Amino acid sequence: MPERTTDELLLKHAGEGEQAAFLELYERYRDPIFRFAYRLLGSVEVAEDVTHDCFLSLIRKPGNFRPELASLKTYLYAAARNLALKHFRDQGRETGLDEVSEEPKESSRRGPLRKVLDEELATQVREAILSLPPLQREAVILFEYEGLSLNEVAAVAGTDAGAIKARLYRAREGLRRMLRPYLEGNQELNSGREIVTLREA
Amino acid sequence: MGFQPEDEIGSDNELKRVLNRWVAPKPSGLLVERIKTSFEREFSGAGKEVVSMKFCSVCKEEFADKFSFCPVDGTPLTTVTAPVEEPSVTVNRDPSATINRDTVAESASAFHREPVETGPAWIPPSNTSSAIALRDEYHLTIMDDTGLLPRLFHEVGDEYNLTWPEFKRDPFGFTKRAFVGYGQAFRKFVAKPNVMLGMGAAVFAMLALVGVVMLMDRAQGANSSRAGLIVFALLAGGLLVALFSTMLGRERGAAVMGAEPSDSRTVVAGMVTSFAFLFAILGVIIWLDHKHKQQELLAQNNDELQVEQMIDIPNEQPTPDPGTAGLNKGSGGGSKPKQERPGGGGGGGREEAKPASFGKTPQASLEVPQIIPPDPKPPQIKNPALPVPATLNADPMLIPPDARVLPYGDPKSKSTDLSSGPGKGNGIGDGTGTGIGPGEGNGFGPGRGGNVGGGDFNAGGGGPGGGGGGDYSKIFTGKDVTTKARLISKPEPQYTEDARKNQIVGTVVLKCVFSSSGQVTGISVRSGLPYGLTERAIAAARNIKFEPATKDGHKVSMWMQLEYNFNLY
Repeated sequence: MPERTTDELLLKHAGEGEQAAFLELYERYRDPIFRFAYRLLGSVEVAEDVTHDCFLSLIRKPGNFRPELASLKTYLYAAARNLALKHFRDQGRETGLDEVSEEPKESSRRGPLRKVLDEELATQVREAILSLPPLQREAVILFEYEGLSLNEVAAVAGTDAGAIKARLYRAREGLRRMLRPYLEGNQELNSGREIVTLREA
Repeated sequence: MGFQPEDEIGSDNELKRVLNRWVAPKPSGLLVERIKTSFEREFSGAGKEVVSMKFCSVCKEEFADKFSFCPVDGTPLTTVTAPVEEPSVTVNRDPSATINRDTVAESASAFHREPVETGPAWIPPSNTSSAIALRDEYHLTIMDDTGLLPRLFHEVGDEYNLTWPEFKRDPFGFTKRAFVGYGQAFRKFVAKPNVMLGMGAAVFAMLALVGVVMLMDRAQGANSSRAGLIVFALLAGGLLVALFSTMLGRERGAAVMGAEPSDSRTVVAGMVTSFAFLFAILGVIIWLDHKHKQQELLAQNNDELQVEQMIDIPNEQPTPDPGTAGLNKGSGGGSKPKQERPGGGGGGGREEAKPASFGKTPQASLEVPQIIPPDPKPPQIKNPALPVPATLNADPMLIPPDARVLPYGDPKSKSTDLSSGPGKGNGIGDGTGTGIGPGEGNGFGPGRGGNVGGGDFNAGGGGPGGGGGGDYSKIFTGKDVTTKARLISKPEPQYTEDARKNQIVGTVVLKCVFSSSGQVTGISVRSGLPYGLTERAIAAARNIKFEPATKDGHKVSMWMQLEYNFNLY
């Protein structure tokens, strides 16, 4: 295999049963797909299930991926999105908010106060993201976190860029409203919160 | 638009800085192992369970081996022997790898092209082996035989979960979109070839059936043979089915349902089923019509009986008048000149479950042989040739004629359900014989051998009363008489001149006797007025014309109170 084999070639070899090719594909896209699924669903276990099914669909139904329409990364995002939506429908609810303990414990060298504040902010951001409607949530995750362009987000969501812009706009409005105390325009309030949090801590 | 252009969309660094504080974790190392295991399972065949499938040549679907006939159209299934090395026709029972019906249903309702859930367009195989040979083909397969209703509920539940949030968010928009969508679908359906022909044929068939029903209805009036018409209708319906089967079979029939030509059998089967359903409805209509006709016939028989007078028998009957005899009261009574206690009684009944109903006694007579009173609930006889009044074997002095319009019955009964009572002998009551009451014989009341009074038969004497022959000369109160005095004319008193001058107003109350001779006698003043008004009232009272009160058929005198109001206007 060349040093940087194309996704299509890897997929072809994987479809023929070559595990190394499949794992190479997995290593390439595992993290973004898992991050996307995790931020969309809010659960590590469910995100792992989605990632697993998403990659397995490559060998089960390789014909579904058509390189002339979109890149493999976009395809995987779309597959993960559909699996996540299926999960929403199956669960009858949109998010699970009772899994705060699964938050990554960032081992920073910062002081305990900073750590407490960061964790609090991460929790607030997480809750704000998960409280968005699913379509706005996926738009903001793909655009802000995963760095996809508007057209790529539109391809994943199966709509046009104008709709994605509208969703992003509304999502940002909602996020600004929910995270107002933490934005720079509210530095004083943010400081006040830190003091209060410090006392509580 | 209310949102910013793309260059501004991407410039919200402040928000992005805050958002980036939420760091996603890394997937666990177990995920790699799961992926590897699943990959190996997919290609090594380990853990796979090969399920042989069966193929339907009509609907081109594959079904599990347990099916012998196609669950869709009933066609016998043919076994597909799939090579083991072909993974495309095997079904992996691994829960993580199984593609179940839920996945398929949800993929159909997804927002857009779904790489995971949706496979490429399914190509109908020209034969079984080619269907198997397509290695990468995903075959939509119903893996279970869930009944129609559970599947329907499942689908409706899915649709509800999907559409309800949208409807809640924008009900008017949702309704509008639904109308537009269904309208487009309908137009698309109608635009298909031969659909209008099929719909016209269905309407024609319905009209033909309605015509047959109407024809049968008319023929019923003409006393034609209904059975013959039913046979005719069945034959006509069968001919229609045959006609449609021929006309709509193959090419056209298939097109009616928007399906492939090979589906024409399904179309014809559907039409035959429809006709069977329609004929079932027709049968119900005929049955209801027959029942309705029978009820009308019964009602017509009832209508031919002439109603002379409606009798309203109240539920609460007044306590029967103890009478002059029959209850062992008094010491005498009867037609004989000399006072003598009557005796005897009668009873009967027709062994019915209900007690004898309330009614009057027939004409009493000790001389004429008894005519048994008819059953209060007689069989309906149209225009009896010789109506004969019933009689009772008793002293008419003791049981005077009853002019009330009532059916015959037991005057002491409180039952209003027409019945002859549980007794025997065709009389009325719970006794034995042709009489009325609990006794034996053809008389009335307890006792035996006819007449009234109890005990053995004995013709009484001394008049109608039970206590020495009765006294109809005394003055009765209103509650003691059988019928009260009935006013024929009542002249109004005139004001006296003096009373008018003195503005006298008030009421004169008189107590008087409406005598059995038809005159007002025994007038006494209860409350009077001056200036001659009381005298004027008395004079007016004397001129009252009335029909005397009666008791037991005798005219009697009766106390009355008259009130005359004098008013000046």
